[in-house]
Amino acid sequence: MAGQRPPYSRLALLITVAAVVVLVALDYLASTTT
Amino acid sequence: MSTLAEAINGETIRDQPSRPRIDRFVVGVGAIGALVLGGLIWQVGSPRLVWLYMIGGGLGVALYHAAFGFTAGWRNFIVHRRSRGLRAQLLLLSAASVLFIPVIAGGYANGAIAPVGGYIVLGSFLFGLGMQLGGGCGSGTLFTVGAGNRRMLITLIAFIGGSVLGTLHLPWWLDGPGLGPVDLAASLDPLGGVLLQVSVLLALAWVLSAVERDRHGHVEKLSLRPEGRWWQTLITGGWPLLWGVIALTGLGLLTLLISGAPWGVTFAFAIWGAKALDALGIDMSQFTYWSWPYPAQALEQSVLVNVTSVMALGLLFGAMIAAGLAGRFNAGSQNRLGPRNISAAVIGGLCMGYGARLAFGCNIGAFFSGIASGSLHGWIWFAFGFLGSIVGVALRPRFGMGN
Repeated sequence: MAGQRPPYSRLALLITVAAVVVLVALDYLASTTT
Repeated sequence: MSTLAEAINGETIRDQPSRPRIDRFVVGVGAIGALVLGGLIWQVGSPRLVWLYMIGGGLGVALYHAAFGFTAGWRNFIVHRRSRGLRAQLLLLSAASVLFIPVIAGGYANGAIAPVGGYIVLGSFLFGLGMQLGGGCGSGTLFTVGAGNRRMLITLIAFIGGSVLGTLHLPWWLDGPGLGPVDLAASLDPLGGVLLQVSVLLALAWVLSAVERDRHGHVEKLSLRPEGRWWQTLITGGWPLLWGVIALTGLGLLTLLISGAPWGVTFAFAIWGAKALDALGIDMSQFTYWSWPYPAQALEQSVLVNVTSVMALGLLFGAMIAAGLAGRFNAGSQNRLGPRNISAAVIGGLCMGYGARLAFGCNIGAFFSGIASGSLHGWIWFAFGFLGSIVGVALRPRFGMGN
């Protein structure tokens, strides 16, 4: 097991990180329009 | 040292690789995401907020690499009478008290001083119970989510839900009887406050050691010496707990000096949940809590200018990068998610979220920052949070969770 990486979906990771950034950006846009 | 899995949720992953391979994909994605978000904070906020964001990142790295889990530290003592994790926390509180109280007394920052009442007792008890079922505390939930743990994502979502519910009920709870804020450092003068706190913390550490020695015949030491080369350990993890204590103390002090208030976590969850409901068309300003000046301002403004949110986001990315450097991203997701396990995550998250609002913070905002500020509510949080954890530990087997 030494040196083996746990399995995960690279696509899911990319989507999750992008979603966090997009949500934060949308929240910023919403705060500027109120 | 406790393994990462023990620090997170006591599950049975103990196969810490002897020579971790850096996962460049995770490190790269985490670094790019962190840089983009940092750029947004720079544009919208201020250099001060960027510093706090980076401090949050450093806290994420330190928590992950040192496997500094408050939850597992308490459980290890409750179940196995092993006190190393708990003693590391007491050392952290002692060091933070020595550094924080003079800064606060000198007027350089505000302390985490909160009123004392039945809501602190109930809130901390619920939090302590919830953190054993949820599998992590305020900081623990964040850093394990950042490290790719699927189950902890469920805990986090429930945590956010419980936080919002807590904000709706907090005004009612505050109408109950209470003592108001009790600042030990102000009551005893700063030096007296520091001496009292450090004496009590050291006495507690001595008692914990005595209990461990009585059960096991020896006491596990807190060591500064890593198992491998120090520079390799610094990057790829497996830090001795004392490295975690030093890093958390230093970064906690920087937070206090730069933000003007001690480190907090769970207010960010309440804001995120309230913003989500607001986006769905629910007018949160109709609720008393969200009409109070600070929450109302936080709800209206971007999370990019909110200190707690910025630090929590930094912590998430810091833990992700640290998990990539350790080659163990997603390692906490190895165990199958079943209905009982998911139920425990939801109940634990809800209890923690609700409890943190009632208790004016979580293990960071109330326990760490409260005690380090010399606030009595931090000590009450400790006592009743620990009682809640004893109940939570007893409940874990009913949800198919090991101890």
